[in-house]
Amino acid sequence: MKKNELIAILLVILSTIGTVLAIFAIEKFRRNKFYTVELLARAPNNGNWYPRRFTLPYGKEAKILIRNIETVSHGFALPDFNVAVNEIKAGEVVVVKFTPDKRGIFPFMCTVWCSDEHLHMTGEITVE
Amino acid sequence: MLILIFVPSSFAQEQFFQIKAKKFSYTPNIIKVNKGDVVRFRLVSEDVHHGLFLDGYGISTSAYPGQEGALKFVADKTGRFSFRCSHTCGEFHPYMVGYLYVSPNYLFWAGTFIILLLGFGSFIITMSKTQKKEGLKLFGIIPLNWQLELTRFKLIRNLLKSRWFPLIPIIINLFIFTVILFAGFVGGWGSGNYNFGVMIVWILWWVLLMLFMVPLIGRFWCMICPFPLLGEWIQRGKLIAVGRQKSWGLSKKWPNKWKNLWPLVILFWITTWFSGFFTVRPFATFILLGAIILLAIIASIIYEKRTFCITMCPVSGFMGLYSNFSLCSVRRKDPEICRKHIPKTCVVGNEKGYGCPWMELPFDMNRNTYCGLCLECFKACPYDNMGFFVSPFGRHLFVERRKTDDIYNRRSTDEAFKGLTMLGIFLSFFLAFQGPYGHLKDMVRATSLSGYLSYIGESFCIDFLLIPVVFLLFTFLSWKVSKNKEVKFKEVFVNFAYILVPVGLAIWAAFSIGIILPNGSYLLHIVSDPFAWGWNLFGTANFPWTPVFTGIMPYIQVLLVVIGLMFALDFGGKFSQQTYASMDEAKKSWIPILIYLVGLHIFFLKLFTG
Amino acid sequence: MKKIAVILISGVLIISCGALVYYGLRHARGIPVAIQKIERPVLQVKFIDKEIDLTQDTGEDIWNTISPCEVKLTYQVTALPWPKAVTPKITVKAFHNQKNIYFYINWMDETHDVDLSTNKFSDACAIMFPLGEEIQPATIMMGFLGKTNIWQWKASQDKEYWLKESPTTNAYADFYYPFEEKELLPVSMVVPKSAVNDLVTIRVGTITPKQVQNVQGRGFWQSGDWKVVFKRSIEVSDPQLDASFIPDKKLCAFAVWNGSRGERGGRKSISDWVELKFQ
Repeated sequence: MKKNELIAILLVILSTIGTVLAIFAIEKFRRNKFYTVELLARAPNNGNWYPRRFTLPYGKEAKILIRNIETVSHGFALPDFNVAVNEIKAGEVVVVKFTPDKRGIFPFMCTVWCSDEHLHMTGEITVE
Repeated sequence: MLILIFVPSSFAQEQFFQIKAKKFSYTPNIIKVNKGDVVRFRLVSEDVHHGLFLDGYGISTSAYPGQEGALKFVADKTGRFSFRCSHTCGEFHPYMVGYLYVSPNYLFWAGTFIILLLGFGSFIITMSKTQKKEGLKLFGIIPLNWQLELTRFKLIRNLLKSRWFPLIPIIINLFIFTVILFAGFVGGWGSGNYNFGVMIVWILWWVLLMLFMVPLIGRFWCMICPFPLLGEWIQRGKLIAVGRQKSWGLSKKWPNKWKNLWPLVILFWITTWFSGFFTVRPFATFILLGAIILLAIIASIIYEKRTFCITMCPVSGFMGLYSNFSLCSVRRKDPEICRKHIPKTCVVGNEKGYGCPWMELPFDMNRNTYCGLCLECFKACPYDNMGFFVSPFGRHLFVERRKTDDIYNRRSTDEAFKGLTMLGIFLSFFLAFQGPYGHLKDMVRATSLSGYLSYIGESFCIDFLLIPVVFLLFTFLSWKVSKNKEVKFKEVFVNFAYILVPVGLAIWAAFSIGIILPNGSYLLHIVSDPFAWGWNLFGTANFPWTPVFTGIMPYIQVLLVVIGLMFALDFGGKFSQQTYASMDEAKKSWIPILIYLVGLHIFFLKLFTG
Repeated sequence: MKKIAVILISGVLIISCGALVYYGLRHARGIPVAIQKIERPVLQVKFIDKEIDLTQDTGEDIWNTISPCEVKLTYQVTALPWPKAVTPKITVKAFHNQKNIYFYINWMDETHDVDLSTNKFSDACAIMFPLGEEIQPATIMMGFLGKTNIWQWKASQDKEYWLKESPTTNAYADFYYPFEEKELLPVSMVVPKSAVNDLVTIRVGTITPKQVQNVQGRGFWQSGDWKVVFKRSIEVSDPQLDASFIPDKKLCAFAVWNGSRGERGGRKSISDWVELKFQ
């Protein structure tokens, strides 16, 4: 039965390659629609924040998705805009929302003891 | 011992403990108090944020470095309670455990009492037998040769004969494993407990395997396993239709010398060396599964049919052995039909189905070890003579060797050793992962090369030396006591080794309970957010870690251990009768094995709750 | 023929899997970037055979001969409340004459805040020394997992001690209180034994003044610039509580408060560890 064979092959391709493509598509759509920047939280000896410096437009609400891809907790603080997340546990993902109302370069840093170089886990946001 | 139960508890005290938490253990890791004591814990973290959740009492606290956590409670429940870390502190976080003993440990004493009672009961029953009985009965109640054949129900018969089954479940599994592999790949060195790949495989699949799939349906996983699908597609040239009977590729035959479980005994043991990595790091799970799939595909183009499944898949060994205990089996229905049928299409195949890819002889099969439930014989039999039978637990463990048996259908030393090494692997896993010993955990996750090599060495000694030698001693004693010159010692050793099948299933089931109850709540999280990307497919992404039923967990584990003992005692007595010529010899020679079983199960009881 | 096909297929599969694994390993911790090596500032403590008498001056001529060491400061964010803004950097110098050790801190501060009251806060700066042998190299936050000895100089205390000017009020709100300035806990003042508080802590919230105050200090403010000098004998009177400078590889950290921004307690700008190198 040629028809059955084709259906079976289609199902196999759908469940493998189709799944992978669908995952990428969903994620791309989600990123573009819902978030401005994706920030990876890593301890300094594993690469520090990524991206460590980025730009946000002035006056537009920024939504930063912070993903902790490690096995220790991190935190996030942007003191100039009074924005912070207490603790981002391992594997946790949080969204930080704020509207930049000042122009300039502002530091952000980690607030939870994560590694020996915790104090160097910093980055910069430029608002223009 | 009865007196001990009635000793009044000593005067309740105030007990204070300062517990230091460091990755990944507590100091002190074992705490002992008495019932009624007012217990205070001060949790001090020595490196990162740790927590402490007390099983059974359901209370928790946490401590950042520099800030302590405190707990105060009255120890009104007795027994052994694990306290575990409640804040993800690193990759081995799910294994960060300590033990609290609240004496008197009634559960342990009650369990020991029950075990001794069962042993005593078995002794009495054995001694009272005067002659060998035909028609063995499980626990003296259910006849072992009772069976229910399921293809008498039209729905089931049509399902089993359809070429879409089990292909559709396999494709569904293929989808799930694609997600697992993807999750493992993007998970990197992140935290395993928030990764779909790690959780589904090591928490869900392993637990389902040991608790339900193997004891109830035997090689059920092999029926729906997606790993050989691509290789088989290449071999057959077709996915669902029946094409070439001979596998494309080199189609080599696996050498007869290795057509047994020995390669898998070694391979599974080697796989356990890496359990400290792939159960916690997503990418390590990806590498392991990817390697197995790669091996499956390459093996399919070099060897014929399902040689990979029989000889190279790490889990195939214990699944094959333990499936002889399960309720389900595939057998021919009417031997007369098979006797007259030439050629045997279940072996060579026809236009409706392939010849048995597991290289079994379905018309003659009487054990489950090498039958992968692929159901091709149902489709290939023109007389509809294959049946799916439900029979009492353990029936196929009683199958003795026949003169016409080929190399598969027999009790053998390789299967005996598989049963023995499964006990040993359980022991090293339990001590390392569910025990409170920090240095063992350090060894397992290779914080130092020498520690890791010691772990492998220790694992070898337990699995291949300690447990087999102890068993050997008792079976030797049994052989000597029988004073029977005709029975070979090897036969005694191998026959009695099959009592380790229900024992093994029971302790692995109890081990799985210890995995799923504390950590099952992670499954709700990873189903909504499989890759830790911030998804929330079903709204449960923020479901907090919630251990469930930790209070009754030790009771469930003790129950499983006792059930395993009951089966072992029942089967073992019958194996003894199978092994020895006279009833008298069988009775005497059962005693050493009885003592071994009772001692072994008291040891298991101590592991789980003592 | 078939053998070649089999070998080819196997080869392709193995190589592509290998490539996949390699890619995955490289990205196992996110997008790979070059790891920046962290350089800790080094503060040379020279041997200069001179004395500074703080009752006279702060030894500007001696300090001018020493080259400065720049130390960057960041927001203190590990414990609430946070400072509203940050003093970006300070300049530090140090020397010893085998009897006493001297530290010099210089930073920019537009406002001269020397009054303490329930609504006004004083400028201040501090040096923290870890006590004990087993300190983790990057711990900060007042002791954290070990004890520290903190020398905190306060402009208000400096004014009271050196200029003998009595304070404007008898109560102040120099208290670590996690809510806004509206909620202040007035505390009555003590008579200072020095311009510098010699303190010991074991973690956040455990600041304890010592019985014996060993450290002296003095600061001058001029057109937006604070210069503060600390002086203490190298000998320790209590090894449990005093920072020792023998053996010679030591660490210290700095903190600065700006009173006009309401900074006190946890609201400060802090530095990472600075290595002290003795000569």
